[in-house]
Amino acid sequence: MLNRRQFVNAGLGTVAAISLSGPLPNVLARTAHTARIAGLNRSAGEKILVVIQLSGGNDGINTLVPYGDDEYYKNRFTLAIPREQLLTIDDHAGMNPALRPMQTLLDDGRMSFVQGVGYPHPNRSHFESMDLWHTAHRIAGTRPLGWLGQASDQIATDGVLPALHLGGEVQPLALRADRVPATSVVSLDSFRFRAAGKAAAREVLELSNGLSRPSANSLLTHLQSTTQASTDASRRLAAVTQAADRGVRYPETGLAGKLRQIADLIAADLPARIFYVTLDGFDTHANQSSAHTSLLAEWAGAVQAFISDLVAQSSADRVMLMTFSEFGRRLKENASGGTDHGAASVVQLAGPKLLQPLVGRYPDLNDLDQGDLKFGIDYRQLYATLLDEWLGVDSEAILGGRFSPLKLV
Amino acid sequence: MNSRWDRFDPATAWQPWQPQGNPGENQWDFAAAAHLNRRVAFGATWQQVQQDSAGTVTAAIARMLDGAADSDPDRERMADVLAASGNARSLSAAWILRMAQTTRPALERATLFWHGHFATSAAKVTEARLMLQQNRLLREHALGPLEPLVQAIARDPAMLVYLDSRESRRSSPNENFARELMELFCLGTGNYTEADIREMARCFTGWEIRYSKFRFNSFQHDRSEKKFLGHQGTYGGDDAVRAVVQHPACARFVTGKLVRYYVADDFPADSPLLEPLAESYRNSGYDAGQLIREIVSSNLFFSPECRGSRISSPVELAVRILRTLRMEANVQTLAESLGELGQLPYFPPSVKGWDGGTAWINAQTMIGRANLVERLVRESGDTMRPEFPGWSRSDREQITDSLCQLFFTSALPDQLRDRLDGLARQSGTGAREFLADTLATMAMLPEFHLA
Amino acid sequence: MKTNCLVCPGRQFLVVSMMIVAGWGSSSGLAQSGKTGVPDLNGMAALAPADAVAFLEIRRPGDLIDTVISHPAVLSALETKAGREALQSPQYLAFRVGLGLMEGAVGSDWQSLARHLTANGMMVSAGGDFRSFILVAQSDDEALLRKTMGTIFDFVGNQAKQSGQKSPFRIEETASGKLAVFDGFTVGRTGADLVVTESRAATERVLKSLAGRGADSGNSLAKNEKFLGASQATSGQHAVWMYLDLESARNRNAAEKLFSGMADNPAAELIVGGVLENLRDSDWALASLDLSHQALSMNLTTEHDPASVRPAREYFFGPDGRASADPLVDTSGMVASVTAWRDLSGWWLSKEELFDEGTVAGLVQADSQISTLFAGLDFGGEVLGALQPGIQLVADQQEYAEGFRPAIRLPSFALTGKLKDPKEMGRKFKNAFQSVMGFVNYGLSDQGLPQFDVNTSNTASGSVCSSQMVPDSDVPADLLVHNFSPTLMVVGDRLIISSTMALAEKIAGQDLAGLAESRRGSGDSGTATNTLIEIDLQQVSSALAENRESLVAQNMLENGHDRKTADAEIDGLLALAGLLKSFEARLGVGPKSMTADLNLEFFPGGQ
Repeated sequence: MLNRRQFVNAGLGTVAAISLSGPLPNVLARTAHTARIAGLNRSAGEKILVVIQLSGGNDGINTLVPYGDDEYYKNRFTLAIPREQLLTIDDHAGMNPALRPMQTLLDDGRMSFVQGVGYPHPNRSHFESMDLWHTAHRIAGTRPLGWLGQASDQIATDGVLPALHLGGEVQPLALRADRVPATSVVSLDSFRFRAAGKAAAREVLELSNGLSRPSANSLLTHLQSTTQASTDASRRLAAVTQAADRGVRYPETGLAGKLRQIADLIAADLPARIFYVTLDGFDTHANQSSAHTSLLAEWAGAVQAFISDLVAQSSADRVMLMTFSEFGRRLKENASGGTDHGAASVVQLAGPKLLQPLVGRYPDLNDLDQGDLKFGIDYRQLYATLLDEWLGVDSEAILGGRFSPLKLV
Repeated sequence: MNSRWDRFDPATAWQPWQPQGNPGENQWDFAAAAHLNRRVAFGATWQQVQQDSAGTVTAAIARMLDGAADSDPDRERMADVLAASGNARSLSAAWILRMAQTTRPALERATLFWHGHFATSAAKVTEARLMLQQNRLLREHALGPLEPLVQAIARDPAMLVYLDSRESRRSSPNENFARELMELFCLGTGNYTEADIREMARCFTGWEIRYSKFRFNSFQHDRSEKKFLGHQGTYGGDDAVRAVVQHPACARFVTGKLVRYYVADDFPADSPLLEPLAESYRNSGYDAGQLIREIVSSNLFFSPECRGSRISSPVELAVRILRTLRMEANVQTLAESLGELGQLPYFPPSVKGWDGGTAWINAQTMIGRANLVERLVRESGDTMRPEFPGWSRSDREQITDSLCQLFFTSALPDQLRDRLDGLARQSGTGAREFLADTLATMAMLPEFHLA
Repeated sequence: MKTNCLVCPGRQFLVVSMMIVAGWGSSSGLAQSGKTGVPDLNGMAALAPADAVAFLEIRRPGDLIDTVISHPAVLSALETKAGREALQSPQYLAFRVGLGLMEGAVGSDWQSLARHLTANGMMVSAGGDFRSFILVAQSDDEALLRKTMGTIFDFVGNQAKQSGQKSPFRIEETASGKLAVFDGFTVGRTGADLVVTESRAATERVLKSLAGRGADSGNSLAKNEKFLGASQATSGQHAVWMYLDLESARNRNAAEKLFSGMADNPAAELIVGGVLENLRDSDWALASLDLSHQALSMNLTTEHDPASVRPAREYFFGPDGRASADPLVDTSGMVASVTAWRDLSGWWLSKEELFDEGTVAGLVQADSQISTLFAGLDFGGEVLGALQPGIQLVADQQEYAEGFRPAIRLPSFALTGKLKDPKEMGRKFKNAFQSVMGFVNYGLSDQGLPQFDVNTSNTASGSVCSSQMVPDSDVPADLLVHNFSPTLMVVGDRLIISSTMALAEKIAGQDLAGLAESRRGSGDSGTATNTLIEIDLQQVSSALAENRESLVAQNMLENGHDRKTADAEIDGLLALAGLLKSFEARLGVGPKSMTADLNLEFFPGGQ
């Protein structure tokens, strides 16, 4: 199957072949080759997807609060947030006050909540529900692949980075690919040739990058073009981090630090199109209020800074940020001032100009499934939209079927 | 389909190579001995390669494959202690150390092959001692016949956990092991049907583990008749394994994988060149040691097409440096770095093992691999004992030349080699520091990653 | 190849030699004994500037160096890998060669040379600007000092000449005699005394004042009131002692982190929060060190005002600023024992004042997670609040059940404290313990490992929750879990949480209340013991020996060593550990000062 990108590349190749038919002078051929590599390895103009995973099951009900529904106040006897403290979006839902930093994104039309996202027969185990979100399937067999890993497989061409996971935790299953293994890194140092800090070594690398190799060995050609791509990325990244101050201040939190690095990578035109980070601690069974508030504040502060940074570097329109959690939490709070595992919840999107602040309908709190919200939007509809329309890959192969897309942008 | 292997004749490709005494391409020289050592044994010191090239090719192969067993009781004791701590990551480090220190690197490299073939990950099998037990099993059978190996793997507790066989009940047989036995371990797709999997899965019901040991639970075993791969009977697991190993597709499938491991990443699985090799594998009673010997003694193995036709895996890259330069390094941090580059032993990404070849390489791992080498020489350069000719005189041009001969499968482009020689002439640093800098520089070159 | 050792810049060599001459001297009791009971025996403080931030005096350098070079622990440390590497390092070898040349030229071995050159003591002071310094060494042999200095200067000059550089110093004639002026420091001599300072002027000044013997000491440190006040706090009988003007250091923004009053993380805060509190506004510190073949003792005393402690650190010092820790729990197989007065609830609840935003957020989240185990009780306020201030930690020899011998052998350890409401909270701790063991068992079964059998019983004096491995002949005997039989006990108002049943029983059997009374009677009336740590290093050493295999394995992995090398290195470490007897650390709070006493005891002559 030929995807859009491969089609474009094939087209360019054909044009080049026609206009430069006949044997090429060596220098010309090399220039053409380098130009092709450089073009291939830049992500400029390509759309990018950044995923934030809130691990533990974020309480969507206290994230986007259905204050217009009396059931909310009846069931959340200690955790309910008074209406006057909420950042109301419409006459039914309002944001937790800890999300105040996000208000500007909402005002700019760069953020929206997709309401009531879930799947049939909800599974309330952290692991199994997370597996579903990661693979878009109920896992059977021994080689499950991630939905983003498969997208990576489709995107992959020479020099392009597969999906990139930032963080020290185990790589999320969502990124598991069949052909191109995703990379996990903890710092941007992974994108700098350390030996090239010495001038002599750097000159050798540059000399090598400019020399053509015998084409008979396809492995060597592959290594050579990838080395060129990484040298380019390394150089661009060094330039970007030197100009680190783009006038955006990130909060001093772990998540903000990771998103800041992703913004640096995007600014450096790193040839990567899928990024993944996680924020853990959302399993709030007891004394939820203060813990949840601090987690939401970390998330909101980081997202706000990240999107502002992208706006400042004029990339916001090609970067979609999606935040999800494996499930929401039960409507009725428990006796420990916490909430237990639930089902459908909200997914947040941010980045480009979005059509509306709220997508879908807030689930009816009077119509519950074993105490949990019922889903109105299948998460695979959201995936299909992001895969087909944002990343430009074929969602059917990944999701195992066609899911009707959502109208987002 | 056209391939660069087309010029080989199946009848002669695997015939023992007869090097010519006179200078030329077809010569048993330092380059050929270095090639053999890289492919069979994670590389070797300059002295060792020199010594091999001074003898005969047959003797060199015998030294690697038939060397005295490396049965160091201390090493086993150490592994037991590490496994008792419950941390499989320290087992990875200990294995890397073993690869770097062992007197039988060929055995370790073959064991690493089988680990990728019967891939089992400690990420799921959380009990470290089970992983260690499997590692010992693989080593024991690495250069031996196939059926005993597969029989042992079928009842290996780590494998039973990894492929969920221990949850297989008579009423609901788990098909994972039966599927992978045919698809990934022995036959490859197209040689069995879904019905074969369902039927065969029933043979393995009742195969359980308790406290790290295999146990046959006769109450859970399905004793009724099964039909698979053209056989019919009240078979058990042993019978199923035997039937699969003796299936005509098996020899060719395993041979193909071993050829990709020892000869070339891109060796086509459907190449007609494989058939004579598979035939001789069958005739030897599926003996891996004999098959490997035949492969690495062959005309094809020493052909120009075969040189530099593999991308080194992260483990191969690191262990080659440790062995070639006789370096001592912190293998715990090394193991972590190898994990970041995609190959942490004991933690393969899936039952499919490591894809290898170009899958090792992307824009980030390319930097990561070079940085791995840079860190090795920066942190452990003091421990290097390379014994290159001219080492004691700090002859830098000689150092560059030795590194090129040991680490590059073919000549670098002239301009590049000239530049490296120029650096050697201009350098004012000590021999050790010069070697470290040069190796770190070379690791950024694409050629460095070929073997 | 360049051989760097001998062509190395003469200046480096000179500095090193001076240090040797000055710092590593050795004397055989020739030092004059001055006024007893007050430090600064030779009036050396009169040589230091009034605004000195640091002043260090070595009273009998000779005794100290004799002790060091013949100390069994030092000799044993030199046998270890690090020691051997140090002795083979190019720096050391270069230094040794230089020393040999000097010994030859002066005609005396270095020990004897050093002994005489510092026979009458030495001092180093650092000026208030952190750049000026004064070093004075007083010898008992003027001729020897002249000869040594001449030899060094000649050597340095010749080195420079040979490598075609100009001499790194010039000789200047002054009223105080000849001075050797280097770039950055100036060396001078008067009689048998050697002076080095950062500048020509300062060297001249010190020489003048030495020649006049205090006639013109003017405005020196000896007349600084802060210094005089501080020196009251020491007996002056120490081998080495040092005065630090913390106030100036703080004002000059030195070591900002140290004086910030903030610890980096909650655990560090719990251990040294009070010390950091003190350093925020203490004006001075005195440190001393004594060494013998039997012991190494160090003392650090700082000015302290219990009334100035901020409320956030009340958890550390107590409401009156001088709370006393409970007595040490001293079990029969004690490896280490710690007792400290700490109000854990106060520590947790003061988090906003004590930690940065990110740490507070982490603690808030942890609070929620832990509260899950305590059926929703608030962790900081209600769970920790259930404890009376004061915690004791014990590590004890491990005792294994018959037939079980884990490959990794850990000591058992326990935490004990007192409950405010033993009846009510004892029950809640019991429930939480059972929940935790439930999780543990779930985790073990998930790994195919045997599980703990949890038993509870109630007696007249309290209740016990203990857990034991289910005995099963199939269970491998060398599993790590055999180190544990987690136990929670409530005896009277005492809560004991222990990794083993045996240790919990040992602690429960101690009459801690009686012990408290007996200690209270005998304690120093002025100073309250805030924290006391005791470590039986003999037990530690045997615990290490028990785990020799693991240590060797770890050594191999970390260094890439082969078995033989790793064996040798670990044996060296174990031999060194075998020389150590015990360690004690005590933090005391008095009405005007805070003291930290550290005492390391050796087996004299080795074991």
